[in-house]
This record gives sequence, structure tokens and C-alpha cells, in this order.
Amino acid sequence: MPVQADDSQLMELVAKGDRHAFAALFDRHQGSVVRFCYRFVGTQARAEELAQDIFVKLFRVAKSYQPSAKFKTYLFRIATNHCLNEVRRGDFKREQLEGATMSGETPSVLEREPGGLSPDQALEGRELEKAVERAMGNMSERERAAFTMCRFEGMAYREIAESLEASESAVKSLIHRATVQVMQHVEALQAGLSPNGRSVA
Amino acid sequence: MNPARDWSEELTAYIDGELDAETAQALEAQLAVDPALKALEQQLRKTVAMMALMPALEPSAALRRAVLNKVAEPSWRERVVSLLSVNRLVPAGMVAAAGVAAFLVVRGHDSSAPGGVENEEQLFVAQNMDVVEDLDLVGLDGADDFEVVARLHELNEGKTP
Repeated sequence: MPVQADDSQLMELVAKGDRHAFAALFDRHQGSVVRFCYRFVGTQARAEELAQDIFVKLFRVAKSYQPSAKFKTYLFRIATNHCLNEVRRGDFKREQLEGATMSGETPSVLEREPGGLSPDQALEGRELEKAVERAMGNMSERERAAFTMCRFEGMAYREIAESLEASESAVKSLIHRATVQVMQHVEALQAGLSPNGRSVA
Repeated sequence: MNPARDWSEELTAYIDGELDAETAQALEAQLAVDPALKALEQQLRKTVAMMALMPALEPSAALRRAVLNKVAEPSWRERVVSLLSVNRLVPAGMVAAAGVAAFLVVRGHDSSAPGGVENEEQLFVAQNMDVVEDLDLVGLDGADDFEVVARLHELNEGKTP
């Protein structure tokens, strides 16, 4: 396996059954996939269950990968379809992070101190996360997927459109509506109010 | 420029650098004359920038182990293909054929001898060993004479009084 092989080269090796190449791809992209799944299910443990399914599926369908397609787009198409199917099937219900987490669950990202931040910054980050979580709870599944790929994975609208199998114009609308919702929740957080004007103190 | 156009719809794409040059220029012209639109653009820009402050979520080491173990296992399709391979089917077929042949040979051998009848007679003799001893004394042969031999005791008992 080439030391600096790009994702497409690694996928070609994975298609031939190379598990070392697969491990390298997994190491590069596991964080993105888990974070993406987390936005659908709300707990790390459940996000990792979904991520596991997605990577196993990636390995199984590697032969169908066309090197002309950008790998991350291909991966997120699998991830999006899997998350949407699972959520629609009802196996995973998105945890609302406003209440206490379920006992026995891995603590949510909100309950752990973000590394390298001062207590004030950590508090700010957690409050911000809560506001974003509330906003995302009101989004449609496709808005949530598009917003996550755009804001947390830095994907271009064209890539997101390919992952969602939608037009760029549709993706532009999804991301705009989602960003406006988050903006309203962040403004409310800063004002000490809920987005509909009620106090959240 | 279309005066009825809702330029706020374009703001997020503009901030993300996703508008084509012509539309971006038109929007910038509108921003210069519309303070409300400009305020919304600033607020959206601030919101987008704040996403970088979100706490990062790191996957656990257990996930890596679980996934790599899972892909090391053959899938159900690989298992079926493996089971249907020539390397497995030919020896399995040969074993099955040998088993069928052995069964037919044994069955053929059994049908040539009345083993069932023999077994029944042996069992009957074992259950009536005391009678058989009398049979030897009397000198009779054959299973049909057993009842006669068995009733010899009754005859003896009847004569005694």
C-alpha cells in the first residue's frame, strides 16, 4: 500500500479486499462519520453504532466505487442514506439534549470538557452546542444532513448535492433555512430567550 | 435586476462563497443600499463563524476495533459462494455418494436374512429360560412345543394329590 495514497487509490485496494487500506481510510474519516451520525441520533454510543454499519457497508460495496467520484461524497452518500433510513425506520430516535441523558449511555459531547478550552470557553461551547442542538431538532432530516456536511465537514454545495442526490439549488435552500434557524437560536441564547421570545433562564 | 427578488435567500450561499460572480456582484450592490439586509448578512456571518467553537466529538477506540473485526469476518454472500465452490462441492458429493452406496449395501444384506425373526426367537428363549431347561430334558424341539413343556408342571401337580 502506498504510504501517501489518496482516498481513491485506497478504495481501489479495498475493492480487492485489502484490509490495511480499509483501516487507513477508516482512520482518516471515522471522526467525520461519527460526528455526522451524532447529529441524527444525539448520543455518541448510538452514533458509533451507525458509523460501524456505514463503514462495514463501505467495505462490502467497495467494488462499486468509481474513482471518478470524490471519495468523501461517496462515503457521505452511504452515510446519509443509512442515517435517514435508520431514523425513518424508528430504530433510532434523536435524543433531545435538553434533559438528562439515559443511564448507561456514553456521555454526550455536551457533558465532556472540550480539550484545551478555558472553563468560560467550555461553557460557551456547551451553551452554543445546546442552541445548535435545539435548532437542529426543528430541522427536516435533509436540512440537518446538508447543514452538518456544510458547517462541520466543510463540504461544497456541489458535493453535498451529490451526497443527497439533490440539485445544488435545493441544497442552497436547505443550508440557508438551516443556518437561519441556528442563527435565531444563537441570538435567543445571547438574549437569554427562547427563539419564540420566552425566557429560558 | 429583479426588484421583487428576495435577496436574503442568497445571503448564506454568498457567505459560503457559493454564488456565481454575477449574482454575488448584484447582491453586493443590494447590500450597499439595504441596511436590514446588511444586518442579516452580518448576523449570518457571525453564526457561521461560531460553528468553529463547537466542541469536537472524538470516536472511541472501541469503534475501530469493532469495525476492523467486522470486516475481517466473511459476509453471508462470501459464505454462500464459499459453500458452493467446486473445491467443497466435489468432496461433499463424493462423501454423500459413498454414504448412499453403503446404506444400499447394508440394506441389501439385511433383506437376504430373516434377522427380525431370529431376534424375536432369541428374545422369547431368554424370557422363558426355565421352560427351555425342561425342553432339553423332554427332548422336544421347536418353539411350538414350549406351551406343552410349560404345562408339564401342571400335569405333575395334578397327579400328586
